[in-house]
Amino acid sequence: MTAVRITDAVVTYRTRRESTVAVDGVDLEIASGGSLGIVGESGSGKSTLARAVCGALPLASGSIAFDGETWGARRSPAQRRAVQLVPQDPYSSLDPRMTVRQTLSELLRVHRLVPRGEVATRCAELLRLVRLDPDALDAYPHQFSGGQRQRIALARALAVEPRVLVADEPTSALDVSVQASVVELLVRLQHELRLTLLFISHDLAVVNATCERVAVMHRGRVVEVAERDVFFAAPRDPYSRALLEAVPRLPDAGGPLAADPARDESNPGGSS
Amino acid sequence: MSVAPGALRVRGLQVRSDSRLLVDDVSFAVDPGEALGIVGESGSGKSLTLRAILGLPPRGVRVTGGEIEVGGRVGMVFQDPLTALDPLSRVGAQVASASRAARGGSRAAARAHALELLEQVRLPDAARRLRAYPHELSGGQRQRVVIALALASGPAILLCDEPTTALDVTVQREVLDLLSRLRRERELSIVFVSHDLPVVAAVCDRVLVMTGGRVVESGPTLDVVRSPRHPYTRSLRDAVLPVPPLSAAAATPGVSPEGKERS
Repeated sequence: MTAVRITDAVVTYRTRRESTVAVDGVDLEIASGGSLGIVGESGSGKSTLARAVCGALPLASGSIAFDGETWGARRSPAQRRAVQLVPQDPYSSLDPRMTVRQTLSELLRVHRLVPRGEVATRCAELLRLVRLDPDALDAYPHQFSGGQRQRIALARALAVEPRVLVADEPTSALDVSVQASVVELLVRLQHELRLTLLFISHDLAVVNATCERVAVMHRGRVVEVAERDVFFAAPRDPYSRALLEAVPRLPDAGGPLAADPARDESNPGGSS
Repeated sequence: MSVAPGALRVRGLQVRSDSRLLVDDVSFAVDPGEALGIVGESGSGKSLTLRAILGLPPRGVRVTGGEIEVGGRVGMVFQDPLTALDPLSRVGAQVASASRAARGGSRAAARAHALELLEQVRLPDAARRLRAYPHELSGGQRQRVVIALALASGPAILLCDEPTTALDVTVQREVLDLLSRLRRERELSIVFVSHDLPVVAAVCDRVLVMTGGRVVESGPTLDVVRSPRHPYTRSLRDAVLPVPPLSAAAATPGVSPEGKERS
């Protein structure tokens, strides 16, 4: 079963003088409960595509279908709930004047997801789901660390019980150790809740940790789609290879460091 | 007592805000031409240490103890090239005025020096781009301009604060390669601050690990990465998400991304 099918999608941005094609004929699909990572550099069109999948931007042509049904940018509340975005910067997506409880219970009430009497219980449940203490419900966004805020953004996305989660660089603003724990949480929740995941990132290591398939975007086009293991070991496209070669790696975790004669000269023989 | 040209010695550095000790008894030395990495997460004190060496601690923060000895001028490369550059003046003029402030001389000489510096950092089409404004350049090109600005005073030591964090991975690789080349060609010493251990490992011979304002471990990069002694270093290393190795067999010969530096 294909949960998300993107067919020949084109997205253009118009300014007064010119129009720019940001996404240029993209075909992609994600199986139900599957995960696809889209990697690419700034300007590749990956975030634009993510916004189109969420219905935040209209397609100039092509289509995006969910479970076989084509949805445009004008979506019913139920359709909007089904596809949720986890943004890069949770600070700008959470209302600074609302406590976590207010944010979550408003969503639950507006969308009538649980009976009124169960809103409080569900709020606590959502926080536990993202491994936060329900005591945190009465705090404001600024009282949390970056990693905690990202967990809250995740809880907010999960509150409306989506089928598809679109994560746009959800860990790139976080410290390394926090990043690892958020990635782990996301992977676990995706499996537990059988979510379909579209994961946008410039960070190949994060995509390797989260997604079973990888698509590479470059200048609005998909240049390669492959299973994770195939992609990382033997990318077919020269641009994919250039990306992978550019990634700094730890000496013992993923082969030799990129050649740097200066360092090699000053560290003859390495160590240990 | 003074240090050799290009050397840096920090002893017992202490930095505090009104209420808190932010950098506590940090000591290290950099030999001329050496690249030292300082790794740590936000709040570790790594950037404050750098700002203290530069002599420009952020507002509300004071250096309250320790000695810093520097063998020559110091240049600084900041994380975000957009905020490090003046959006309202042309990049050539910015580099020229930095050069003139440091070395004096005529306007014409400063302009010539600016062009020379922008060529040295391999800003593509430098002669024409002298007249560009920062927003007309890509992120990588802007970071090259910021590096040229830092080089304008003829520094012996280059301080780099997360210089590639805001950049795309292929552009990051170009800037890291550029820093390594400048270090060789100009015999620069480099102090490179980053939260990213693999990035530091790509540039630095030696690394210092900081957390909570203190140095918990230091040593040759390879030793620290392969056999960390301090639990914090180990957790930092283990948090690095791996990228599987590329198989060499499938290499596509003759293909390299545009502008990639390998020297």
